[in-house]
Amino acid sequence: MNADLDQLQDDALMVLFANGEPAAARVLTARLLPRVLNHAARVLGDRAEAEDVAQEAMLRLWRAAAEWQPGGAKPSTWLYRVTANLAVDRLRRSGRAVGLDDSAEPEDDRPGAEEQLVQAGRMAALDAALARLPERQRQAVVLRHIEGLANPEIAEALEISVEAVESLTARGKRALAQALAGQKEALGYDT
Amino acid sequence: MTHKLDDLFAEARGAEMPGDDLVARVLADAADIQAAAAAAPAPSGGGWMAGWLSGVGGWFGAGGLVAATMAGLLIGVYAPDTVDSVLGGQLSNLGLVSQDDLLPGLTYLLPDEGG
Repeated sequence: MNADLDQLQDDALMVLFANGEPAAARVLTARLLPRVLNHAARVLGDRAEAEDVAQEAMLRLWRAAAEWQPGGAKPSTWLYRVTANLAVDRLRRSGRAVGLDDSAEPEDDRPGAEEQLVQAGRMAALDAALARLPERQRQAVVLRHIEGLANPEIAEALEISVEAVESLTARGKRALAQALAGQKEALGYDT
Repeated sequence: MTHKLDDLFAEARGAEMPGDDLVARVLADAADIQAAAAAAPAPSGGGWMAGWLSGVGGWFGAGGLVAATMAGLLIGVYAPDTVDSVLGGQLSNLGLVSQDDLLPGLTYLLPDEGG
């Protein structure tokens, strides 16, 4: 049954899920949960919190299935939006949010990227560098460069314009490159 | 540095795979939602029209009912011979209409021939 359902698009699986097909939940989970978890982990920089957010986002997806309109928003885009909002809520509640100003520059009084690299490896360093970005920049960079979404899809997920996405990803990538500059040896690259 | 950053992004892609425990929790949530939906009463979408259609056997039944109603109305409005003519004499052939009995039981209303 799963093999047949694997051929279906996400919104068709949502309809099947709403009709009580348990295999649809398994396929959607296999397809979407890794992406949601990865997104939440990079934005939050905390695996346990990311798992909580991913589970909550998937729960909201299940609840939305009964009212889902095939041909409308893609479930993956909808899920990224929910995940982004849940992650931002967590960051703000914990006081870790950098702020909404997308023109803000990374703060200089935080531990340097090199220190993070030495202590906890490349992913931790990336998380540390991402954590220094404003929320919107961080979300846009993760969705564009790690999750591989196209700019229009990011715009829909973050409910901003495509132009704003282009600006956020460009600024964010520059800021990350700056934070990680000169760390080739620590990153483990030969060149 | 940019291409190294891209390498780092690629490495981060899929770096966090969900464990069995998280997958189990997500699927348990899904099962709960499906069970709750199955236990809930079916929506009564369609209102009185849907109920009436269901009662007469759906659209097919409603079509038959309308045809029978129209046939009855036609017979009531037009004289039997007219209907018979429209139907090409089928009623006569079946013995359902007698040409000399167009007004059965009403002859007493006709004026006496003797005045």
